[in-house]
Amino acid sequence: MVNLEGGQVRLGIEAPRDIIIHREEIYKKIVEENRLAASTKSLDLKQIAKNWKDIKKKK
Amino acid sequence: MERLIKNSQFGDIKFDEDKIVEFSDGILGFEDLKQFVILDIQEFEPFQWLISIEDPEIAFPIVSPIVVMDNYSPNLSKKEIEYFLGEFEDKDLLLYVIVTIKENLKKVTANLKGPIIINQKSRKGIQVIVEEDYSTVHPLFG
Repeated sequence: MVNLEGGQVRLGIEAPRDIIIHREEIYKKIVEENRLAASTKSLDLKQIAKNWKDIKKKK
Repeated sequence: MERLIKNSQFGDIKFDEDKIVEFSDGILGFEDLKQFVILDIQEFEPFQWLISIEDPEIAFPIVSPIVVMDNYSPNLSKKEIEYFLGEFEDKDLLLYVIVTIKENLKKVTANLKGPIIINQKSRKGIQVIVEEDYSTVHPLFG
């Protein structure tokens, strides 16, 4: 079992498992997302951060 | 020792050498880049940047999965993580997901299928592909 608390992972006892599965399709998707992410403009992320804070305030 | 890298968007970035995180397998699609540092700038909160030291123009927006999903809990085996990242206690481990912005800011998604795990104790990190049926493009707002 894994629990997330404050951005951290907590791990309990569990059976070993493969955590890296190179299924090609998923792999390609992740590479694509990574490439897109790598070209993020800082101004865009700044705006998204602002939007996120505004939404949070409304809640 | 203090290090300095230059990025056209952020200017000069100074950080202490012991903040470097070693990704021996790189980030998927960027396998040549092995060393990264996490950039914490208040105006981007809750987001941070995972920036390459070898190519400082490469920076990934990252966020804690808690921001994206309340109950995100991929099944990660301690044994496997220790194999890649060295020994750790639970508190040493950080989990992030990479964020992408599409369609002129209208669509923001996080990659829950390929999270980044960092062991603060060994300063090693890895991007893994989790087994669970999480999306590579999970919407961030709603």
